[in-house]
Amino acid sequence: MPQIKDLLEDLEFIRWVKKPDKDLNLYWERWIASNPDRIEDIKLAKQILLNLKFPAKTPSMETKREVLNKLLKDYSTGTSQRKTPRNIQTSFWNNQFSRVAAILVVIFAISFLFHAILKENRPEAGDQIPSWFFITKSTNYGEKLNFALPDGSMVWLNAGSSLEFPSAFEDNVRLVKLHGEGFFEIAEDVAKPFKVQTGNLTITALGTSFNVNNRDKDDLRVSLVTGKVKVDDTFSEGEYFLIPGQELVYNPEDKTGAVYPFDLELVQGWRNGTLVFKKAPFEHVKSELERWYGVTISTSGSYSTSWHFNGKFENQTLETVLLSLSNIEEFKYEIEGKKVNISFN
Amino acid sequence: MKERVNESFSLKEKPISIDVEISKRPDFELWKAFLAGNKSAFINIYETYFDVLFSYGMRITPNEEVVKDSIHDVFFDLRKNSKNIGDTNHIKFYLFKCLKVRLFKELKGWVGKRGGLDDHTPFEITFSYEQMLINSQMDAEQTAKIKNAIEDLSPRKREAVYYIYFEGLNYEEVKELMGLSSAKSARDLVYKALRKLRNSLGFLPPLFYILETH
Repeated sequence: MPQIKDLLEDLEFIRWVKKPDKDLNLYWERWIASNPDRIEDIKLAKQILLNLKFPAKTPSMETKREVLNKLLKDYSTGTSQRKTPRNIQTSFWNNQFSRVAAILVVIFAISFLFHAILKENRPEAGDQIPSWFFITKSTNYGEKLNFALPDGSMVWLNAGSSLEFPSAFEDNVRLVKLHGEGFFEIAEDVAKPFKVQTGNLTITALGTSFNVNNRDKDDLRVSLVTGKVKVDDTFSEGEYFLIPGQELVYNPEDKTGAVYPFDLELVQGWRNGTLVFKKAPFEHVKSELERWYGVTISTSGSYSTSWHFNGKFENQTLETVLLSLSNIEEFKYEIEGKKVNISFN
Repeated sequence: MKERVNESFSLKEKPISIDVEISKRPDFELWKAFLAGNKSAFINIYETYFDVLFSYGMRITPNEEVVKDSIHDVFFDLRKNSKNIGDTNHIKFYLFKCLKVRLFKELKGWVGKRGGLDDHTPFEITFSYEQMLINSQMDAEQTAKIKNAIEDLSPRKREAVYYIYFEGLNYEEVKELMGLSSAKSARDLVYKALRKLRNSLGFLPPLFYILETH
């Protein structure tokens, strides 16, 4: 008979489910090894715990700053200037009391001011407050970037992209904003879902890895490599669920999306420096090269609309790529610094 | 056989608890620095706990202004009375305690002036049917039933469950926050909540058989 009361009441078990770490993993692996008959209990207890949600109202950044600023002022003056005016009818006593308090505050403030003026008026170095802030990491064309977020999740930014994230994640959600293309490897933390906001889509992940591609003009693509994600369309309030190997292709113009299988190499190649084209039309190849190598490409002559290129380049120079492209597709090219000219016959 | 295994490796003996002590040391130092007037310690604590405190307050009352002011007062009073304030190894719990006391003081002035606090559910808990559907363990009807059952829990039971399952507090801390007589009654409250959940489900999905006591 399954019996999980002991597990659900066990704080270490709860900690393990909510915020697993090395020690807890070790402990519970050992526990399971010595209690093999209880694997099912563990699974069920875990399910229950993970699905209990405690919806939270989070403060706006303004609220957080407002209170902080008030406190910093109060600390430096030693008096509390709080009381956002309230529309409560205060009784006579309260009123009287607050008047007396106000007078005292004024007296105190004045004496404090005198004190401060008499003292040497030198600015404190520690006065600059590194308040809660957003960090933006961005890449120019021709650049790629790989970094860790405050929670240990890894991000790879493709060229011409940016990611905004807070200096510290909130207690109940990890929210970031993406422009362009990025690959995410999310550190598992079920208590804090990881959300990527891009365009009008929000991608919610637990522990998982996926690619998001939201470049101007093109369709927005969310490609799931491992784990599970949910994508919310804030416009239509629709939602999509992806399983590994699936990709959401979303048209930002008519706000519709559909889920397809995707080519892992095509989506993932950029992270390890592999430029992959599969049945790519010329416009795509052109914009991809511009972004990848940080160049601008101009064309002369006309090319066939049935132009479709297949090819794979691993850490190659622009010169090599253009050379092999031109051999196959028959065009001439010149490279002058950051400018490329392609002429079709 | 099972008895013996459990004996040699029971839930009670936990090597981890030693690490817990160590990992809480920073709280101790940070708190001391804050009380001593260290500005960066204050900012550190503020940045770390403001959101949590705000959400906590909003679970008690839907009035954002009251929550905001109360958090302000908690921080202000702590610094003002720093000489009389003890050490703590768990800042979050300490701040929760201060904020709860403060909020109840504030709210006294409000009660009666504003009728009931209509659509506010203190310490709201929901059951994530989204996730359940993803895992496709249950269908929508079943998850809806569980959801309703959770919403039927008394505010006190929800509060206890929230401290344990969401905030990761221990039973001793729950006892203090809720004014209970012992850590055991905190444990009972949580357990009753789980049992109530089970009982209020006419139909029991397999998942909940496990809450049965034996």
